[in-house]
Amino acid sequence: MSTKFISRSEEFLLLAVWRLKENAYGVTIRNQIKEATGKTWAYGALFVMLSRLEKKGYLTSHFADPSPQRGGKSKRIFQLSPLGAKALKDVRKAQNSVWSGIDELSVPQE
Amino acid sequence: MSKYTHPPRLAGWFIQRMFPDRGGCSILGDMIETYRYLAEDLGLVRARIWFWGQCVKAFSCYIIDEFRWRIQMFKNYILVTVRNLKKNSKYSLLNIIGLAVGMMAFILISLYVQYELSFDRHYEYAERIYRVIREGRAFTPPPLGPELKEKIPEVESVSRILRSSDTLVSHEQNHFLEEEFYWVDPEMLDMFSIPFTNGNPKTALNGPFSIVLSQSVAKKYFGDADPMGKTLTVSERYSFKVTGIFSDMPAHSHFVMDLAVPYETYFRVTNNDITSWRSNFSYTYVLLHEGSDPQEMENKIAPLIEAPLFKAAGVKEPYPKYFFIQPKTEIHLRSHLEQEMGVNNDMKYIFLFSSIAFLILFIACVNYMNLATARSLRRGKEVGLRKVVGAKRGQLIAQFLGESVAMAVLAMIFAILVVLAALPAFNNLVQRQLRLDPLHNPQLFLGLIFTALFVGLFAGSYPAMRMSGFRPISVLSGAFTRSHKGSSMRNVLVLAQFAITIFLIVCTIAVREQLKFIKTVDMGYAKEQIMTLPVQIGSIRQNIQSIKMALLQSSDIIAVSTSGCLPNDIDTFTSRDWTGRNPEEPIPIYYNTADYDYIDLFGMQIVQGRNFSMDYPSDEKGAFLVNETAVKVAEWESPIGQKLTHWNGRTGEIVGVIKDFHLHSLHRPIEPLYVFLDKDNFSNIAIKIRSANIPATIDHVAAVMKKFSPSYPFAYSFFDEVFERAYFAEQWMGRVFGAFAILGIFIACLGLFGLTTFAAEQRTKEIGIRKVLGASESKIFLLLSKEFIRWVLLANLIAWPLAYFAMNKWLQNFAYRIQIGIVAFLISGGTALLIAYLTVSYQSIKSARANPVDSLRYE
Repeated sequence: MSTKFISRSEEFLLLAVWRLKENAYGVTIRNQIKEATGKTWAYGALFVMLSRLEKKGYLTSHFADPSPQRGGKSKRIFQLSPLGAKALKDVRKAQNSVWSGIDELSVPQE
Repeated sequence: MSKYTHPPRLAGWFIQRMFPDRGGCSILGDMIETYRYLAEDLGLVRARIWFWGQCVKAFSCYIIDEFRWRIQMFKNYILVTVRNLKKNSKYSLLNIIGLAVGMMAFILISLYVQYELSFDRHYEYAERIYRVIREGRAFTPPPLGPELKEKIPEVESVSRILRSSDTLVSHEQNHFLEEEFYWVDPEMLDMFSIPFTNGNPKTALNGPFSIVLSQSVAKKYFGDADPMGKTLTVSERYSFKVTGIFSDMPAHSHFVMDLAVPYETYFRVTNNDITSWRSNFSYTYVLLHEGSDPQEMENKIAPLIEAPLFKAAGVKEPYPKYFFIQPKTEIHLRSHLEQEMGVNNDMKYIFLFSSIAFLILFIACVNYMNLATARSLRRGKEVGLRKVVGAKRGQLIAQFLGESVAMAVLAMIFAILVVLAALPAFNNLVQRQLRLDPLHNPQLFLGLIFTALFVGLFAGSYPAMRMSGFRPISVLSGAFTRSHKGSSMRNVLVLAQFAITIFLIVCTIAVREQLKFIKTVDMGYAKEQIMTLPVQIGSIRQNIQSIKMALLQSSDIIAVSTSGCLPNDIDTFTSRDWTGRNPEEPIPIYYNTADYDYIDLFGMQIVQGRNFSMDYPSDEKGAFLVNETAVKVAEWESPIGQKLTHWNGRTGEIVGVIKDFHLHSLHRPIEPLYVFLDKDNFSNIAIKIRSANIPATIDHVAAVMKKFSPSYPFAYSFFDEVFERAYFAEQWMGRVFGAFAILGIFIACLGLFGLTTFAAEQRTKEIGIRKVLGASESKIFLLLSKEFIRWVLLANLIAWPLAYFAMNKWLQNFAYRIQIGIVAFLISGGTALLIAYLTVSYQSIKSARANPVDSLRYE
């Protein structure tokens, strides 16, 4: 049975959430991504992606208590679900097998 | 920097709207947190810019995200819509045809109404031009114009216009009788923004014998040659030099001028007094200064112009209000004076037809609602399933509305195609040149798109609300087969449709009856087998006695008479006083001039005294006939022998009294009239002919006219046709009513047909069981049809009083009118019932005769 792989940005997001453990919410996830890839995501894009991942079942989330420095809004804390973990493993496995044997990427010269 | 700086509220609000996030809106929290951090780090301004940037980016993400999911659903909706159209192609077709017919009627009427409302609005100064009128009459005396300009500051310029129809204009071998020949002040060309192609509108009419022509008229006389500087001869006597050519005036003007010559020249060549306040045969138009108040201007006429006149005439105060003004743009639809330039339309008709358009569209919408709701049960399962898998009510409503809008758009396309095909016929019916042309008429096109959307939403609203309200549990469990709730609403809709249709039928019948009455009522004069020729020129007037003799040589010509007016429309009017009356209160009276043969030729009766007669040589000097109404108004005990003075100063005695005849159309009561014997001045020749050999007789008349006046273009009409032209508006209305009544019935029947089909289908099993238990075919038939028939009967009760009221109101326009008989109502009710019955019975009989085995076997 063929596995449907998650996309690269989904992979980044899931990994970021996993790395952050209990502290995975919008601001930290965004910072994590920036550190790892150098790209700054817009919050809108981040939110849409995270919601989609949650819908697909790779992530779960709950609301933490609202705090004043967030304008009275709660943090939405994300967690990797078993399905999400599996998806990460799948993509890692596939990656390994695709890349296997390539020690040094050399492009044939003309 | 405060720790609690607040980000831009508006941006925050947007974010909250876009990503409510189960009420928590964590994204906003995230953004605020970052924003505070940035504010401390980079400063407030840059942080705000950042926040707004995030907001904009979030918006684009939101749109993409939403769209992605919507498209999936949308695809499904389209699929389901197309499937439904195909699966129920019969219903769909009924539905679309119904809507399309309704829209067709709507488009046609809109085109017409739009055209009528556009009258006289195309001039540059359209809003500032006013016509000066008198109470009930459009003509004003010639000195009024210059007086207005001189004494009233609001007036920018003034133009007097005098129309002489049937004017003979010649150029070499080309002779034509010109209908649209006008004597105008030179200012008129500029005031009415007449678009000149050659010559200068400011100076073109400055020379007393200059003439300006429309392009098509110039072509008629001069062909492709350059007309400028050439000469045209008017009435065989006066030469006018062409000094300007203008583009043809658009037909949506209350007068369409073809040729124009200077106003003052008219008075020179006819020896009329241009300073006489008693000469009422021309119109006065004024152009007001920008921003001036027309009401104020009108108020100034009384003290500045009328008062000195009344004073000079020795009239005692208080003076009656004499001159009024009316906006030019309102002439076509709102002015119903005597002496109008042409036949004006009536705002009432515009309202009437607009309402019919909306009624028909409404019927069509109702039809859609009916069929869609009836069908809704079949789609109950779809609705149930969608709900079970999580569709919200709003989504379902959107889906069904989308379907109905799609239907409406399809119907609109269909309707536009039909309109394009039917437009020539419709143009013929309404006597207009309407076009469906998106380039010249963008408003209409937007209107049509809007109409399609509106019809879709309106017609779809009720079914959508109903269908989306189904409870999945009851639909899916199968308990949901026949709903009584829906059927009562459907019946009310059928009721409304038929009430409107019956209303239209009653109106059609009433209009037709009145027209029939007009045709058959004794007008007091004969209309049949009379040829009439318009005559304005000297060569015929001088030779009239010889022409008469020559005409009478044909054995098919019974009599010939010359007169000022034909008896069906005597529009010449004066006020007279006579011995024994207070000279300050002259009696308004119509007059006509005629020769010895007029009374006999038109078959009028003399009830007292005698006709004009050659046996009494004194008649030549001056003799009068009056009608009975004049006798009554003048309170003469013995009218014969009373002295009268014609408006031109000639006096004579009344020699006889004519039995009252209708000297105007039946819209107006019979008014006082005198006929003055005058063999030399006339505008018409009437020729009574025998019914045999009419073509030969016409040839004979043509030959005689040619002989005496070679340049006279032979033009004739038959008097009965002239007579009927006066009722053009009514005939037209009768036809339009008829046409739309048929459309209404058609749509209503489509709906009824669909409903019965549906009802029968739904009750297949019931009918099967009934038949098994012994019900007869006729019982079943009755069962299916009685429901609808009952509502059609009830529709009669609603429509009758409304139609009676409306038609009575319309008939008030006629001084002589029919009573709407019960027959009209019975006929219309009967027609509607019959048609409804036939429609219903097709399906009812079919299901009544069906074999119960077929309907019950799949249980």
